[in-house]
Amino acid sequence: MSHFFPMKSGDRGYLISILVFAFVAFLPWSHRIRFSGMALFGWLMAALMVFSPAIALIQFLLSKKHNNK
Amino acid sequence: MTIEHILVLTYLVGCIGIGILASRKVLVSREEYWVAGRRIGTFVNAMAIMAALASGGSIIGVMGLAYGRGIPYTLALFAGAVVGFPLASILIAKPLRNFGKFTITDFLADRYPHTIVRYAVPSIIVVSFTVYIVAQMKAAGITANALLGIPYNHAVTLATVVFILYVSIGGMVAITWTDVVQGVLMLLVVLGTAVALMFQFGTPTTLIGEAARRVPEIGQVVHMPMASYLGSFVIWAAAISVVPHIVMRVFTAKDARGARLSLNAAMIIYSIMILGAVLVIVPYGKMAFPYLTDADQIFLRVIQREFPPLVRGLAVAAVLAAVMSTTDALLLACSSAISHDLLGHVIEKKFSPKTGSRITVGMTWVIGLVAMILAYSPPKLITEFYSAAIGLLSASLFVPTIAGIWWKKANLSGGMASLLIGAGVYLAVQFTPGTPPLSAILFALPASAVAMAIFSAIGRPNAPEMVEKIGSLHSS
Repeated sequence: MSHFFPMKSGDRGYLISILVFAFVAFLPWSHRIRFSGMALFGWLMAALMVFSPAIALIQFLLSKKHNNK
Repeated sequence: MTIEHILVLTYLVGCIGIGILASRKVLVSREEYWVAGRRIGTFVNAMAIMAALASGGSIIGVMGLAYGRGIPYTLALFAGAVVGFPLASILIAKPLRNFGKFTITDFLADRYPHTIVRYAVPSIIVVSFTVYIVAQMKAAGITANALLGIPYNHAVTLATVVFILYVSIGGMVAITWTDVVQGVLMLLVVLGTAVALMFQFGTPTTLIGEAARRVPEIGQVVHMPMASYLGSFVIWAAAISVVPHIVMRVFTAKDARGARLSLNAAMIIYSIMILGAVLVIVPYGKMAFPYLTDADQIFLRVIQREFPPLVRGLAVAAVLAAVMSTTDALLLACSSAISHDLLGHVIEKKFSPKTGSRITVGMTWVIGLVAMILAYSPPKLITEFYSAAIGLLSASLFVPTIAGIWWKKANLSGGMASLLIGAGVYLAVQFTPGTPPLSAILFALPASAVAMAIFSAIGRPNAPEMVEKIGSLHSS
């Protein structure tokens, strides 16, 4: 028997993806490369701010549709 | 009186009016006062959540931080807050809404039933939120001072009296409706300024490229030790799930699905606003005003230089809106921590509901006035200042809350140990000389998690009824 309460696989996948993205973004390689005057690290953080809410919302709405069916 | 003064005065009177209208409803019942009768719809709740999080820090402070410490550092901090929303949406929204009480303390004291938990959690909330409120008041003070010419201390006093008035008499209903108005105002002013600057000076990449050519540090990862970048991200990623003024909004939702959808929608609006501020307004401001001594003034200087009086008046109202929409929620959470979590049992037993409501109103005034007095000597870089205070909440409450919801073996011993050790390690590291700013969380969160695992293993196991009760929170 699992010691944890079950979590939907989509939610679990989403959380792992976010953690992996954040981990990779914080590694030193992204600090030195620069685009338009800013370190790649900054652009990756900006991308995280755009994509993490968008994907979470799309995933939530899709799961709602799936449940309604 | 100028057009700016008239606009701001109209806005402040409107806020008090909403409080008076709401008071007719809310002072009759605790459920109405604390969680607006649990019938707030998804869109309204999303806007209110966004406005509650988008504080004076998010308008004045975010740009000050980017100006002083560089854009990448600021984006790391705010990306943490944005990531915190889906974490909260997945980890706590449904179980806590199904739990159906008023505050995060209610949940933790129920999950880990011990006097220490009942008193430690609200005490931590009051300490860290008072610091948070002080930072908001500085934003109100410097804005009214810079754009309206009102002396700093007078501006702080005026803003404090207005928001205490409508929070203390209007409760969550007043906060929700003023937050919606304030959220719209903030979005209009920040995004409007960003779009106007883009039309005039080019896209974000052009602006950042030009600013970095003149002041290279603005785009570099050089200002702080890497531990500070990571720490600022982790503090906010963990905080959203446990900060009481956001969690109380989860309790106001009509149902668990509405709570989750509100959190997801709120973070999209929040992201757009922060990115507009950091990627457009800050690089322009850095070029126009490269030598500001108080970095938190940057947005106000840009507004003063580029826009006519009408927009300046709107900007003051928007910054006051940002300050007030967060501070009102913080004040309500703080006063609930004292009059519901700490003194709730006594108030319920010894006083009538009406007297209980008056005590709550009195608590709101006491907290607001204490914070106001502290704000007369303001801190530098408000976002960094209040993030350190929020770190204490994340360090002490994140692990007990998440483990309490998801881990069947989390028990009383584990809960108490993770709460106290998380808070203790955070404070010890935070006040150790030479510690990089905002990095204490990197020690405190793992310590809290290890304490939870060890003490849950050696403590008395949960009763089957407790596991069953928590399990029921996960079902639809």
